[in-house]
Amino acid sequence: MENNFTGNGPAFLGAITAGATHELSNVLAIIQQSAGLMQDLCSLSPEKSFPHQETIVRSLEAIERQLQRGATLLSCLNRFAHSADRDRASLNLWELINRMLVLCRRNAGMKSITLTLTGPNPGYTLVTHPLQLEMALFSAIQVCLNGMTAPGQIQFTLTERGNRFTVHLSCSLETGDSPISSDAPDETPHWQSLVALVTQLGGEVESFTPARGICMHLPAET
Amino acid sequence: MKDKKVLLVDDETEFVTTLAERLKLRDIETDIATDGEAALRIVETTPPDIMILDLKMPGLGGLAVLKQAKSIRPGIKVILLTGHGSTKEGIEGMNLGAFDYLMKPINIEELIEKMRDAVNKG
Repeated sequence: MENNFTGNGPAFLGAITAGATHELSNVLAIIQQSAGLMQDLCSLSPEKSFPHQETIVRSLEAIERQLQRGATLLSCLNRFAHSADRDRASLNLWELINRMLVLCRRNAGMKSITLTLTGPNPGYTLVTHPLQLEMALFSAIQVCLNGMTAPGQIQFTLTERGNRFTVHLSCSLETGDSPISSDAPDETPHWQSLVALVTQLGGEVESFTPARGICMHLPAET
Repeated sequence: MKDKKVLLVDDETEFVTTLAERLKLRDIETDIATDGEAALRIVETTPPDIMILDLKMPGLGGLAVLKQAKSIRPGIKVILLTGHGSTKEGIEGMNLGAFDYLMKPINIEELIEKMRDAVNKG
């Protein structure tokens, strides 16, 4: 566990979470090697086939897939936990959004909404408050999720102009209907939280545009 | 790799014993140590060609083991195992003479490939 605990709430949560992710990573490593050993033994078996072979092999492949899923989640959660270590850091915007989308996938999935990020990584670097930026992104996702009434997609795209970066969140529904409900977004707590957070980061937020989404304009340095 | 001796060092006993079994199934001679002091004793007495070394261990940590192992056996090839968010320590280890680092959980074929690189290029 990193010794960055300074007594505040986020640092406390971050320190505990970062330590636990290291432990879980070891758990995954042991499961992976144990499943791998069984795979090795199956493939080395002198018998060409043995009882339940297909089921055993299929189960081992499922374990491997889930290990990869777990490893990705843990990696993102660990980096997220370390966000609380510093008040200011140099951040790759695309990588940070990618991690947030992995961590928020479950939330969005509950409404049958997928989160996607346009690639490849353009390499935009921000010097800013990591946790505050992550909170702003989370609030933006919540604004969209709350406004979307049916299964669909929230697509993140990044652009750069001068010394500013823009994060576009475009919402679309599978049905092709208008994705955002008629409720005024600027009255919801998530919207107010988003505006406050982005303002503190020295940026601005544009409300639902004709492109049916949100634009967050962020300065390269806060 | 069949004529090379590997030492696995990690405080997670089940991890090293299982990984060692898998390497032995591939005819790779493998020894294990579950702490830094035991690893250094093996480096002194029955020196391995390659050491797979976890960075985060109680007591003598991975970087300290790396430094001492390199001073005892300068030719030893060391591959570090790091957790998430430990890239900085992995790079620090490379500056101290480690060949490379891998992030847990590791794929055995990737590990063997890395060991082969360490022996051939390192």
